[in-house]
Amino acid sequence: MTAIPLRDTLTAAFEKLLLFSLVFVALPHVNNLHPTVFGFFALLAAWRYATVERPGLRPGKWTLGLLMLCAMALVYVHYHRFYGREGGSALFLVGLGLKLMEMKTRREVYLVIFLGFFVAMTQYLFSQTIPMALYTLVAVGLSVGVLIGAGGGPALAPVEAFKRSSALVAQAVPIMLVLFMFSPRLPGPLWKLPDDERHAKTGLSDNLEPGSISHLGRSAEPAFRVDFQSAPPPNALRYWRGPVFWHTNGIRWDVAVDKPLHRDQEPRFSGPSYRYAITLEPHQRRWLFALELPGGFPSDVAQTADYLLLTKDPVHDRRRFELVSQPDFRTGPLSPLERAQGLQLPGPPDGRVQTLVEAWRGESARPGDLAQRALRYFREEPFFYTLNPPALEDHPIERFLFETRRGFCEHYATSFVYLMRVAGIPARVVTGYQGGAWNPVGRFLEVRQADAHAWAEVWLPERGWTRIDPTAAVAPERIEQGIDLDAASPEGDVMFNPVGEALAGHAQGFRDWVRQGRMLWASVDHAWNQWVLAYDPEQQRRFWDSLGIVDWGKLALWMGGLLGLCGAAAALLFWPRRKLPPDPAVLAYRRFLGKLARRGVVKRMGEGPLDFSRRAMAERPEVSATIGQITGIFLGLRYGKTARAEDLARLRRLVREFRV
Amino acid sequence: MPSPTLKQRFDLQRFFRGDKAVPGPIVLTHRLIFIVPNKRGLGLALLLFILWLTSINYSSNLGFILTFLLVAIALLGMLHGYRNLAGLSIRPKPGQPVFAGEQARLELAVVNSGYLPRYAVWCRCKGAEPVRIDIPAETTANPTLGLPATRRGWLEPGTVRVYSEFPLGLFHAWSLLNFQERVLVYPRPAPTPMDFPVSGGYGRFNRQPHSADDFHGFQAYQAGDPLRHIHWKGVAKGHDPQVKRYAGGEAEDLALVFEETPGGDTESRLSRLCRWIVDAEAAGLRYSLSLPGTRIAADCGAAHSRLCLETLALFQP
Repeated sequence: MTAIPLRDTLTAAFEKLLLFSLVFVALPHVNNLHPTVFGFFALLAAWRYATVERPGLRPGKWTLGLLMLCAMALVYVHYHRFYGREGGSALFLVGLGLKLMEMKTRREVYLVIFLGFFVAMTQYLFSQTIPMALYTLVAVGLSVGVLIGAGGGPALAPVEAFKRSSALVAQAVPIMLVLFMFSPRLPGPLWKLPDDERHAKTGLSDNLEPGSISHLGRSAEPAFRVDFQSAPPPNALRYWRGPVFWHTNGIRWDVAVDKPLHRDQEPRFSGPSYRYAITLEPHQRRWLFALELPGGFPSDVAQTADYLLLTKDPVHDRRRFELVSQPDFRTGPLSPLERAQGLQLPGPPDGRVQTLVEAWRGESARPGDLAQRALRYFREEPFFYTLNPPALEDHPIERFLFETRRGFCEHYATSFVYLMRVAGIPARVVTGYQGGAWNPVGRFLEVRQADAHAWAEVWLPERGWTRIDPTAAVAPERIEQGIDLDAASPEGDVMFNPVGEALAGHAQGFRDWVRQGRMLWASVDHAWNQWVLAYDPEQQRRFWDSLGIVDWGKLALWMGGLLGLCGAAAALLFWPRRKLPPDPAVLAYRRFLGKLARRGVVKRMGEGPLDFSRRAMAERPEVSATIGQITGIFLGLRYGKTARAEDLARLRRLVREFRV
Repeated sequence: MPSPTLKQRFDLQRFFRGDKAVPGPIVLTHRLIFIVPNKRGLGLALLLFILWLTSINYSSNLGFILTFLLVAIALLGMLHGYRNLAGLSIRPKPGQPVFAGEQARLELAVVNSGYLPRYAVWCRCKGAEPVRIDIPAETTANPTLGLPATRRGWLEPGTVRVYSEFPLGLFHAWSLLNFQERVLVYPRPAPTPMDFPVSGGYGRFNRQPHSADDFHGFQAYQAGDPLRHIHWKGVAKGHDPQVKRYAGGEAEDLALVFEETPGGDTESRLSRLCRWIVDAEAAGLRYSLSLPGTRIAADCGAAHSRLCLETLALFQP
């Protein structure tokens, strides 16, 4: 088979559109890949564009080979591999550019368009947002338009091709939805490449180094979203428990405990309980955040002795968990190992700390009173809450307590725990999130990365482990209202939101607009996450259960039924009528004959149009000119060499205006 | 066209040669249109499979959406491809006879009575170059298929294949049509001119066709009269066309006799006779034709020459 040359497939206009649509498809990779990689692709596309009118500029075999080597080198230099998320995407992108340069035949035109679809797919490894989904629809529409242009040849105008492609995409969406909901899902991954471990973004880590961070990011990215079955708890109770830190070397705090602690006694709960579902953003860790204190959790989730929930595998994808928590609880007695861990100190404490704690001990020996005394210290001495504290390299706790006195939750929580341990009270640092913004549109609580928080737990004989939040002593607003991200200044000075959500409306004008827009968007995003992105095999099973799909037969029935419905709707548009109308010229001519027949001039069987017209002219001389014209045009349309559309229009007009 | 029985419908012949030949126009319906994915369609299927696997592997729901969207578009593309052919009404126009060695022309009238334009529809006969047509809404296209006419006699164009891959180029939709229309092929005229035969022997035929004294009078023009005999001056004055008649004895007519024609076998004799008929007609001569079992009296004009050539074309030795 001979290769069909490019120009027989694509006109110059469509070749330009092809280039445009491919650049459009690849464009989101600007964010994902190294600028030089994307630049290389853009350069090749531009080069190809220049050759549309001047084929002489196309690279020869040697130049092409050289370009290929350049491309390989470029990918290797930046990613050190040709597979995996980034290396693979980069390889496909430069591959698309190279294929574009050597596109000469019909076969290669299709190949390039198909490769474009694959490049579109690689983008979803980086982003799966709603804008990305809409972008995909447009990109597919453009590519299909070019595909239609390649099939239609020079007679097909680009406008017509894109009209058809948008109709095609619009018709395809319902079918796509049925396939999406009903085609059985296999749990992934099927294969794993070394590069596929996703990079942790913002989020809590498994160690704390309060002195090292001099600036806390205030990311508005959601950490998780919570749907409550009933009313959500008040803000002061919204402590989302995460990793617990026991061990410190004076600078750094670690989760790592030598052996997993085992618990002798389950906590005793009282008071109201909260049932909720948490949709956790992927954070590449095994832990899971829950309202203090979780009592009920899915069977594939384990709980550590310090009440942290752990999943079997790191959370790489957005996941939803159903949980039950009760804020009012008492934990059991302290095991010797726990006591030892809870009193661990990196070495003998600094003299100033020793003196301070001795003074408090003199006032009261009871642990609860001591803890309150420490909180009073933070409240009464000039401590400040700031997200831009000075860096503390050595002895961070002592320097914070006696010199700088500026910091955020981590500084307060760690130094408080240190003080308690010096005083002989078992204590530990708990990290997690505090607060969350209630979204009245979607009726869910959104907890963002900026809500990350650290607090302390001390063990009191009468209550067991008790939460104490020293940050609240310095900046109670932080706990009661949460950080107002929209109002926070870029310098890091935090403004708290004193009016809360009650005053969403008049007083603040534009800022409330922004806030409401953000809320609306967050709820749309939440719905997208829950219904689209979190639609995994498990959720699919749940959805099928709700429809009563229990076996393959039922599934086939549903899927077949819905697809049939889509198909029938589409087919209804096309189904040929049983009796197709004949040539439109004949139709018009028949109307003309009908008009004459009503006046008694009837065409005989076997009488040709010409003979009939002669007879009709004789019988109706007053309209003989029109009869002649109509007959002439009709014969031309029916038996002439070429039929012209304007002749048909003229025939129709004459017949319409024909009066006998 | 009567509805075919189920057995007829699933007859494998239909996929290769189409239905039995029919005279009239054939309207393309779901019974006549077949669709299968072509090589590019299969390529896309492979790509979609890879996209599906990738989506599973990376649990990428947007990947699934892209994959299923493309699946849906491809499926609909099949339907649109069907629609590009469905409803077209195709009939052959009466074919003009040709001489063997020439191209016979099968002219089709493809009527698009629908409101949608049809693009990139191809028509092809076996042994002929395919012809591409684009048919705007409510118009008729007239593709002409050139058929090599190698042998005299009736030329059956065979199955006409009407096909299209529009719009996506991923599916091949086709229809096989058999028309009763056929083209008559005259024998191949002998390549070199040769002297006309003299009655009763071979010799030079010198007689001038019409000298003044032979003029006999006028007669009303009838279809088939030689054009050169028309009284053009009269026509120019607005009279009905008249033909000049010349007197002439039967003995002086050119007698074309198969048995007396030089050349060894039947075909070369027919070829020679064919050449003479063409030349005699061009010269305005009257001629008779004798073949074993057939004799056509001397005459001239288009109708006469057509009769003679048809006889030659269909001659069975």
